[in-house]
Amino acid sequence: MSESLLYLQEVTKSFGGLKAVNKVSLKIPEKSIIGLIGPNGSGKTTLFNLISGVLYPDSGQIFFRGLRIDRMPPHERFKLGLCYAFQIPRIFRGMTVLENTMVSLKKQLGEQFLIAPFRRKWINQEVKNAERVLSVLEDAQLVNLYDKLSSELSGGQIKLLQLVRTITSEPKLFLLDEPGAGVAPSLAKEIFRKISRLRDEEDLTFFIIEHRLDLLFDIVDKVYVMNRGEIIAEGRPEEIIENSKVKEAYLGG
Amino acid sequence: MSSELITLLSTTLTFFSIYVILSLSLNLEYGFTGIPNFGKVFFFSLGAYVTGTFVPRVMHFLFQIDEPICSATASTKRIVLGIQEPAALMMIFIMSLILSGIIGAVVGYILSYPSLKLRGDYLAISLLIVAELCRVFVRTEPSIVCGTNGIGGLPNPFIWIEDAITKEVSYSTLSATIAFLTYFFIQRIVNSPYGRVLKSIRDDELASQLLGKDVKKFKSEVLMFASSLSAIAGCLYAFFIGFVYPDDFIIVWTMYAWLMLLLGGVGNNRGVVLGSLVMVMIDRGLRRIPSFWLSLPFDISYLRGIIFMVLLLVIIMYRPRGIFPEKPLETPAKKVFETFIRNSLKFKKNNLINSSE
Ligand SMILES: Nc1ncnc2c1ncn2[C@@H]1O[C@H](COP(=O)(O)OP(=O)(O)OP(=O)(O)O)[C@@H](O)[C@H]1O
Ligand SMILES: [Mg+2]
Repeated sequence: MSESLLYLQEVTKSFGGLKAVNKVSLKIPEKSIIGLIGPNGSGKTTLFNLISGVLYPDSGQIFFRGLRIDRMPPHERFKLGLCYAFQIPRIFRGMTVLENTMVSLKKQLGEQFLIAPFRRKWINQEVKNAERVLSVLEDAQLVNLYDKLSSELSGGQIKLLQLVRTITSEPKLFLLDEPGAGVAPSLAKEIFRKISRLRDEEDLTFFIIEHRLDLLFDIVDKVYVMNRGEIIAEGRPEEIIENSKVKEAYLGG
Repeated sequence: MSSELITLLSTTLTFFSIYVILSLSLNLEYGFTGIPNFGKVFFFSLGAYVTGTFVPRVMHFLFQIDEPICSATASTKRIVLGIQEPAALMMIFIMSLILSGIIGAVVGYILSYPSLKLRGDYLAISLLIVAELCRVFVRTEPSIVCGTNGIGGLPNPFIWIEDAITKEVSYSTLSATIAFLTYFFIQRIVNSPYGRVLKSIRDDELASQLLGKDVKKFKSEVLMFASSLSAIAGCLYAFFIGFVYPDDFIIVWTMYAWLMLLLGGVGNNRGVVLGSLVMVMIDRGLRRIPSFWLSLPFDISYLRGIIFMVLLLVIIMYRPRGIFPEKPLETPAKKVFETFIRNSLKFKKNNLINSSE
């Protein structure tokens, strides 16, 4: 537990009679890329919602960086370094690309009501932040769109924006729910290459749900497989492909 | 200029200032933070009730007036004392403004709890009901502002000035100053990282939380500040008309504030100021038309409502985002990017020139 960044112990969540997540235990070591796969409706998104704080579990415990977080409000989990990119992107549609990215930065002085009116107190920090954001947006090739409303971007760009906007916030763990879905194949490849690069260069950790196994299996260290709310298998990609339970789950529906 | 015209302009300016404070605070709540405050008149009336409760009692205490607060003679005495004691009157006025602001903030804070729990439309309806209940309560409870009769004899803070026009202009200038400060402060607050967070809450509350924003804290701050401003507007209004009458605070005030917002541009402070100007000019202008000018089959006061609704329809159909639509925030980060883009364009241009040579 001490060496793992994220640790789940028998986490359970029901919706009415349906056990969407049933006694799930798992470990995510630091600086790893871990995949999560499973048929539709197997509880993957629900599990991410529990980790990020969108939902609270009925029972079980979640630890992040050694702290128990399962009752913590989502904004405090983010402050610990937990970033979540939704399956269906949730960007701020009435805000520009730049605003979307800037708002994700942590510890901004100008976010305090009594400091905000006094520009001089926060302008230096703001300019430094903007310069960091500039390099991130340049890297993602979104820099020329900085003043565009995010709702005017293409689907792939929106997905990309959701992903990159948190990079400047000193994240530790990224939860990515289907980063490759609804994205042109070339961009999807680029996104996965970038994930791999971020792990190597910035020591980030990734926990990724992805249906496109070809993309996922290229970069992951380990894969968890869920079915009907339970983890039915875990292992390296090549082991998972051979696993009979996994085949059954996918074929049996 | 004729004195009549000056009085008209001055009255218009006072009403404009009061409307601007109301509509700008609503813009902060709804345009920037997405809180649909349909109880605007409640926070506004709060300031008037505070004034109507506080001013007479303080005056009766200070000057030992024996008559009951609600009596006509007491009301006359307060006016006379206001003329005789300018310094005390100004102090009482300033204290009323501050007290209204504080009580507005406290009530805003208390009401931020349900507003964090309730979803948009439910919140809107709840606030609408709160406002109406409050009016009914105040009009039936004589110990607040003398029940249905209301309370009069609130001396205008400049009542001691002999020249009527100077008196009028002084008050409207003061109101306009407060309105301008409100505009200035809200513009500052909004074009900052703080305003960015507010917009993110408006666009997607959950996503904002997942990016580390304590949504509850931001929402309650906004409600406190906006309610405080609304109550200050109510205090200004009470001193301006000189009495507080509960049945004055009907839902129309809320509707006006929303209309100014929709007219001018939700999320654009400059637009909202313009919207308020349009509204106040129509409103004040129509009051000046004697009914015998137009032969209408109905009372002329209904004409206002008709014009406003037609205006609203036209705006919704042809300029759904208002006269001045919302724009990106003017933050230093934007400046950094503007400079970068400009420089990189220049760089490219230079490269082109160099390569062609
Ligand atoms: N808020 C909710 N209320 C009720 N049931 C829900 C809720 N969210 C999810 N479920 C149900 O829980 C089960 C797991 O859903 P979940 O979205 O976690 O699956 P998933 O593995 O992410 O599927 P997909 O691959 O299609 O994204 C499904 O049966 C779903 O209908
Ligand atoms: Mg899912």
